[in-house]
Amino acid sequence: MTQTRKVTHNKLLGIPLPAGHTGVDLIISALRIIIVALIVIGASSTLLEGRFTFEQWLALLFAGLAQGSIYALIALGYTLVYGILRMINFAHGDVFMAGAFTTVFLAKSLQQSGFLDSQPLLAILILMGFAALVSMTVAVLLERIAYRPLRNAPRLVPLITAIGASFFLQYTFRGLFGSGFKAYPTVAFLRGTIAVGSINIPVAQIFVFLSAIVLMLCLYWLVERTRIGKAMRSVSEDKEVATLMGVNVDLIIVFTFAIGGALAGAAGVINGFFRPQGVNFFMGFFPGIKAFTAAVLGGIGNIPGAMLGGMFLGVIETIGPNLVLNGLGIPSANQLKDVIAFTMLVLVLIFRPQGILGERLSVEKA
Amino acid sequence: MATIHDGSNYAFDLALATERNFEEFGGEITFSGVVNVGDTDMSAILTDIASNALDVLFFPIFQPEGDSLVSQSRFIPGLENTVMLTADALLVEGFPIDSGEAALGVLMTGPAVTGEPYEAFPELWFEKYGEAPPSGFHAHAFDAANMLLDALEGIAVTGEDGTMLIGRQVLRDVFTNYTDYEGLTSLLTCSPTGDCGAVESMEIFEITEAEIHEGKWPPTIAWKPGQDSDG
Repeated sequence: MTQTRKVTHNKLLGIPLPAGHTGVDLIISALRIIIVALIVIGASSTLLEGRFTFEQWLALLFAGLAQGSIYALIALGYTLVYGILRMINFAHGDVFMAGAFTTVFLAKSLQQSGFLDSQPLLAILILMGFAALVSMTVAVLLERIAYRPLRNAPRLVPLITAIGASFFLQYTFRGLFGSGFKAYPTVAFLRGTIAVGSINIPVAQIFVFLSAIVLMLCLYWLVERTRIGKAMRSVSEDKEVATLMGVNVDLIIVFTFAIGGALAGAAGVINGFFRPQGVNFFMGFFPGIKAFTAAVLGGIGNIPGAMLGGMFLGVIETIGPNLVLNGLGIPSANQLKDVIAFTMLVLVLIFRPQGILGERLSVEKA
Repeated sequence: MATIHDGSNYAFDLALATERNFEEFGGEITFSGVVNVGDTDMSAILTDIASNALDVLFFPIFQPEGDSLVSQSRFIPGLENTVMLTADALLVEGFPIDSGEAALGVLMTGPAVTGEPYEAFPELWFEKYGEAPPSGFHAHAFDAANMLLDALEGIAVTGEDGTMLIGRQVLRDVFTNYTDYEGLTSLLTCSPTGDCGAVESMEIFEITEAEIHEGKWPPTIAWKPGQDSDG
């Protein structure tokens, strides 16, 4: 049996195209090929040159996984709120900052009292709990004051409000704690390294990775295995039906913001022991944007997707400058780390708009 | 040697001047790089640097990027034996505390202030504030502030309503005419362009355990003018 295929001609380029395809499809296809070719050429060139050792690649991989763990924890806040409300909470990076910035003072006090070094694990748990409480409070207040009154407004309205809330939080904390940089103290047991084969992995990176995994598993258990998690999923699927089934939608939304905020606060302290320096009122902006990218990368609204997206983004932006950009002969490749992160966002939107794991959309959500 | 700057005029010119001098003395520059102000993850540039053979990494940058660079450098394969050398932008009390253990052995250039007028100053400062001066340029700042205050005393005019007026050009003229002003740093004479820089030399300081854990400041002098360069 022979099939006939209808062919049309693109008016602009004069190129024959399969039926249903436009010039835009052609350009996107060309873009895909160019980007993939650049990545392959850059990576091949670097690897063939052999300038970096295996140990250096592994060190970058572990650093990327640790950085990605932080992105993943923040990304969960984006994805939880999106899952429930279909809105991007662009102030979430500043919720992360609120916990990290406030807790740095407590961390300094614990260090000066000697408690941080004598009881490090307990001290870190106290710090994480305190930061989680601060960030949770900020997140809940944000929902109550800035977002709830706009719940039935067009989508663009809460989005713009979120950006305004982000600036509000930044400059409120600048007013409270000043514009100078603070640093988390170092903890003795996190300073060392663990030898695995020929490389030494910093304990701080292992701590970040494991802490993030534990928190993410706790969240997954909460959402998938508990009664309130079931209520969250039902609100996510259909608010009206959830209401009819007796779910208190307002309470679930507040709970979602609280959980997302608590995770961001805990991430702030974990980040503080991983990258101690640079704590100030603006510290949440870029991690927030990166975490949003990670959430989109993994499939926004999807919890395992946010975890995977965060890890993936952390690794790609840590390894990418040396693997791809150096191979393409681009000078100061490290300065283009953010370009790699946001190119990933563009790539996802071109190749797989629903993200790596995609989102299980109901008809109502779509 | 490898160098890193952060795009600021200060850091760029210091890195450039160091590279030129180092090459003039027969050294080889293996890497010249830049970090973005605000960067916290230095692993990519440090790994890039480590892939080129080097003995010394010169990074005349500021806090907090300098702290991040130092604290992450100790985990990069290939940088284990690299001498970390920075400049006076990091000659501040907070640097060893914020960088932690990784700051151990970091060398930094800074102004050498000596002479009779300065001798009593650190002790007087300690009596007043209960700590050592936190920045390497404290004597310069002290001189600059006093020159400004002396100038203002001579030229400020108070109006009938109590408003104090300071003529901009008059202030400029006073500054360009300072000759042999007795400062802590030296006898200061200002040029027509307003440069009142003291005739001075540089020292090299080294961060030790005492600066990191005990808050000792200023750091130990590792080298000073007149000392043998091998010392």
